Amino acid sequence: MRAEELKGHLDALLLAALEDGPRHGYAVIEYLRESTSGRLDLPTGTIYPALHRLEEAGLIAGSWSVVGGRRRRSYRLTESGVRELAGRRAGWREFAAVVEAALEAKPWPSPA
Amino acid sequence: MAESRLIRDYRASLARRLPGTIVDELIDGLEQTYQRHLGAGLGQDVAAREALAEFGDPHTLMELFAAEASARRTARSLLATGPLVGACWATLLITARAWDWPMPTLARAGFGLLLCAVIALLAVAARTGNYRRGRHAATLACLGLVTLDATLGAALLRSAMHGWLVLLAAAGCARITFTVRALRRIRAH
Repeated sequence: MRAEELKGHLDALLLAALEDGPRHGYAVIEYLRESTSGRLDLPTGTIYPALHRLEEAGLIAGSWSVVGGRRRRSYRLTESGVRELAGRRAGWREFAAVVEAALEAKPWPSPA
Repeated sequence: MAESRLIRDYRASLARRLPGTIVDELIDGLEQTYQRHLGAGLGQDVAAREALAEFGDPHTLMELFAAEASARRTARSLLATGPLVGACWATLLITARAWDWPMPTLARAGFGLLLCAVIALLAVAARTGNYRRGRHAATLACLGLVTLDATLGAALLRSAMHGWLVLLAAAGCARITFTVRALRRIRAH
């Protein structure tokens, strides 16, 4: 799946990746890749700037740790992020149902 | 663990373009990607090249960070709302007959020059793909804008304001609060 097809949904995907608990940038990428059986392999360069934007918006919170001598930044959902994710999930379900209904619509008038 | 020479060069290239905290975060992810490729049986050089290809070249990464940076968003917000706030100040200045104020010509010219500089800096911050340049331009523009708004606010305090004029002054002063908060965000990232 191409990144441009996900335009507008990237934030929801990133928030969903953090729903189970804190993850660092690489783990978010891995989660999205593995949870979709490799069909969602987003360019790394889009993930990190988007995580920074979500942090600045207060939807996620970052913290530093040191692992194997390297500094690692992990992110967790904030309360605002949890609410935002719920809203986006509901919005997506409604959108998907509408598109699905339109795409699967029978020809009109339906043959007798 | 020894860092691959390719990754070391990549880190240096990133460090010339982005703040240290962002570089540290990216290099951590890059190292993990590199280790994944090594674990998949690739040789060191091939693993490093694959990892670097996944992350993209440093210049493109810098532009992606610049596009999401608070400096760019702040600059665009201030440019978009500038005419409205400017109209508020202009109305107040006209009402207060500011042209009669005993102000040296040099001070008037300085004010105008600072206003032009702020607009130019905001335009740079709103468009540039250079992360550091955008951050510096937005910082200077915010400082200049706070100076302009505070100067106008202080000068107009001396004139009698009532009714809807107070609302216009409040709109101008509200931008000071917005700009100071934005400045904190810009400097924090």
